[in-house]
Order: sequence, then C-alpha cells, then structure tokens
Amino acid sequence: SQFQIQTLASNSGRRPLCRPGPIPQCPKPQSQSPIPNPQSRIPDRRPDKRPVSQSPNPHNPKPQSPIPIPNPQSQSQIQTLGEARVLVRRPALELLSLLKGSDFTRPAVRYLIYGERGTGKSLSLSHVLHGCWRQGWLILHVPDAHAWVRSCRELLPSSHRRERLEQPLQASAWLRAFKSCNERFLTEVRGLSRVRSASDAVGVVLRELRQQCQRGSFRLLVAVDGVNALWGRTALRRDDGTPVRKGQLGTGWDLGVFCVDFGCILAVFWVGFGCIFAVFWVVFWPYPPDPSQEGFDALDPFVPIAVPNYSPREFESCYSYYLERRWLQHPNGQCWEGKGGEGREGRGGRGRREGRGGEA
Amino acid sequence: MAAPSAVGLSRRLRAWLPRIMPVRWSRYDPSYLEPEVNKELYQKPPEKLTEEEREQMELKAVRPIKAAPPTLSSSVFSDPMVSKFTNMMMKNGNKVLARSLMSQTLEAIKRKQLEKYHKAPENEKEAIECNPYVIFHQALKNCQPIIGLSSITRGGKTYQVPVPLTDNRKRFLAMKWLITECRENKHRRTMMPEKLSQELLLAFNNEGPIIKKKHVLHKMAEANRAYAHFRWW
Repeated sequence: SQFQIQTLASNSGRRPLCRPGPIPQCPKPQSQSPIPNPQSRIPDRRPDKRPVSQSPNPHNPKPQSPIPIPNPQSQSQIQTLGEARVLVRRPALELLSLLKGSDFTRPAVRYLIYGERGTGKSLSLSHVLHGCWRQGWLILHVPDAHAWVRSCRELLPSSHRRERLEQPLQASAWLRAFKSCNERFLTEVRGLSRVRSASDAVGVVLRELRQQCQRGSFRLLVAVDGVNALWGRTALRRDDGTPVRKGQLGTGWDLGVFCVDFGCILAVFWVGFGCIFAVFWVVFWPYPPDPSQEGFDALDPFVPIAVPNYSPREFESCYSYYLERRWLQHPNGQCWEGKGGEGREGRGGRGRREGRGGEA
Repeated sequence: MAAPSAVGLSRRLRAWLPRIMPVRWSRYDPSYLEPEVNKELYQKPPEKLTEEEREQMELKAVRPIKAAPPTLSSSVFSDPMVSKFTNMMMKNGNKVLARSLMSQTLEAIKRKQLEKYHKAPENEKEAIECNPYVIFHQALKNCQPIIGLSSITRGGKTYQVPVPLTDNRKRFLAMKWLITECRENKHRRTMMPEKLSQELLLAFNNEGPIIKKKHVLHKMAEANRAYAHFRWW
C-alpha cells in the first residue's frame, strides 16, 4: 500500500505514524454508484441493514440524528424510501472501533478517508459521526468544505483584520447546524441572529471548545468533508474582480479550521507530550482535485482509511434491499443481465443502480 | 390507372434519374434479412428451436443481413414505445438530452408512486402501481383517441369528417398531445421530467387535460356523424 503504517492506535497507545508515499492517482471516474446499503454485523460479518434514523414513529421513539446527509442522491433516496439506511462497511467499522479504543490522554489522531469518486467516503463519515453522536461526543462537522471556497453570495471584508474576508451566511448556517447537533452541550450560543458577527461568533465557539477540551470535560470529534478544498484555489472573487487567495478567507476562523490557519491549529496540537486535548480529526480527501503538497504536509501524519468499491456480497445485499423496498420495478431487473451481466462481473462486482438507460 | 409497384418504380427511377431517389424507401435489396437482436434465441440449444426459427437460422448462413439501426437495442430494458416517445421529444437531434429527460421522467414517476406507497396503509398498498413502465403504457393507452377527424372539401366547403384511425396514428396522436401539452401549457420554469411525470400520472388515472382533449375530439366526431358518408376509404 502507499502508506506504511507502523501500528494502529488500539490499546497500545502508541501514536500511529505513516510515511506518505506517492499520492495514488485517481482512475477514470466511474459511473453512478448506488447508495451503500448492505451492512455487516460485527460478529459474523454478514451484510445486513441497520437503520440510522427513521421517520418519526410512535413505536420507535429514538432521537433523530441531526447529522446532515451529504449527497442530494442520499437525501432523495431517504425521502422516497421513507427511511435512512446505511450500509455498514469495513472502513466505517474500523474507524468506529479505532475511535472507541482511542486514548484521550494522547494528542489527537488524524484519520483521512480516501478513495475513488463515488465509493462512499462521505457516507462512511456520516455513519461514523452518527455513531459518535450516539455515544455522546461533541461533533464539529463541516459538511462540505468545497462550499466555503466557492459560490459565496456575500463576501465582506472583516472587522478584525484588513486582509481577511468573511462569509456571514455560511458562518451563520454552520452555527445553526452546530447548535442543533450539540444542543445537550451548549449553554449559550451567541451570534445566530446577528448575521453580521456570525464569523466572529464561530471563532469564539472554537476558542471555547478548545479550552473546554483541555479540561477533558467531553470528547470532541472534528470532521471535515472535502478537506482538500482548504488547500486548493478558491473560486471566490472580490467586488473589484481580484481573486481571493486561500490565506485570506475567514476572520472568525482564525483558530485554524480554515485554510492556512489549519496548519496553526494542527501545529498547536502536536506541541509537547501529554495531552493537549482529546480531539479526533476525521478528514476527507476525495481524489482529485488538487491534493497539494502543502495540505499533505499540514495533515501529515495521519492514519489513512481506504474506501473501496463494493464487493460482490455488498452489491448483492444492496440489490436485495432495493428489491425489498420496491425500488427496482422492472421485471427484468432481477435477472443476471438486468443486474449488469458481464460488465458488472468484469469490473469486480461493483455495485451499480440500473443505469440511465435501464431505469426502474 | 394502376399504380406501379414500389420496387419496380424505384428501379426505374434509379435507372433514369439517379439523383432523385425516394428518401423513405429502403435501398436494400429484398434478399437482405432483418437483424435479430434477441439474445435468448441464440442461447437456445438447436433441439429446442421451432421449424420457423430453424429455417431462419439456415437462411442467415446464406443471405446478407441489413445493418442494425442505432436505436435497435439488445438490452433487457429496451422498450420500443419508450424509444418512440424519446424520439418525439428530441429536438435538433439531441438524443442524449431526450433520453436523459425520459429516464428522469420515469424516475420521477417511480419516486412519486413509491412515496405514496410507503405512506399508505396496508390495505391500500396493493392498489398503488409503482412500475413506471406500466404507468407509461397505460397512460398512453388512455390518451389514444378511437376516432379522428379528417378535412374533406366538397362543393367549395370543407367538412370535418369522422374517420377511423390506424394504430400508428393513434399512438402518434397520444404522444404528440402529451408532449405539446407539457411544452406549451405549463409554467415556464418547471422541468420537463416534472411536468411529464405529472401528466402521465393524471392520464393513468383518466384525468387531466389530455383525456379532456380526447373526449372533445370524440364529441366533435359524434356531432359530425352526418358527414361520415363523405369518406370513401
């Protein structure tokens, strides 16, 4: 494998080191992938379904998970089939077990979920986040880092520093999401209604979290989806047309969730031995674009977790779930050719929804 | 005078006027066979073939075969009605767009029906049809008029005469009405799959503007019943 891992952080407590090898090249993008469905129960490793969150049901009053589902594809599937089911796959299970068994007295471990396009990285992250939320962790979730560096409606010059710019809309949206996610932890969150100071409010929140984490009062999980956006080029322009470079975004983010400051916060974490705080970073790196060297250095060292395509068993399980929920309506969908025939087996059993030509 | 046969006509035309050739007539020699796309036929062992199929297979060894048109598919999901509808929706030869719109329409139908299905109580679940192909075919069938009107001029006046329609014409009219209804009488900003799925579901339940149009046509034919004798074919 490209990354040589010496030890995994289990109970030994030794920090995993990995020496970065050559960054794997992304092969040609695959066709549409299905939503991961088959689950594997931990003891017997058989694919099976486990509902993550269900529509409100008086017989099943479990709390609904506030963690947002990443893709519009997943969201529409949840709405159509009436329930949110997640395929429990090996990468998510590994990550959950690693997080469970992690040692909080040590500095934070960073995990990087990588893989080809459409293999299920974002959904694995949602799965892990949900698991941690259920166990009572505080979640710091950035649903889509790419959304911050592109297509921003309001970009104001910051009140604190002259070169930096703020994104009040996105900051307030993130604060709202953060509040709904972590209601049981928060005593007060300022700045929600006053959109102007939302970015600063975000900075305040991060500073608070940092201090509180040092005391060890709760466990914090930081997850960024699409982390390579933070080191790539931004697509934002100022009013006069000059492009925004990545060092210039986000005053409220000066604790380093953003761009160049990312490096600062990470550097701070690694200073010295013996516990800084119990923060576990789970970040994403969908290839491509632009896994730049700078970002790599900033994130390094990390534990890489690969997310492969579906195995034949996962595909079969996914298919049977769709059949059970009546998503696959065409009578020919159940034969060998309807499932993809030789093409599917030739590609090593990659799961696919019936493609655009063969709908239903 | 008796009309000359089509084949003879084309041969004579070819000899005398090589540039003026009929566009819609086939240029293939009659000995050419149609391509057979059905995979199951080829996978059958030779003992199970019927007499006709065996003859066909023997002919294929001797005769040349026409080129398969690009719309002919061996996929298990291909449907000639759906292909025809896609072609009618196509503009400026953009088949890719038309096909994607068609598949999005079918998906939209399926999603709407599935949502209804999952929310319905147990006893009503069987009544809800979720297969978009079934809905599509039934909707088109419901939209097909039985009798049409033809303009015939007698003594300077043009009369609308009720005439029977061929199957092809009925199918064409149903599809044409569906597409024009969606293109013209809806809000500008709605997407085609949304509009089409809505119209197809209404037609499936025998409601909606297209069924009304069909009924209007039937009523006009009924009203002009007196001129039916003007028809000579």
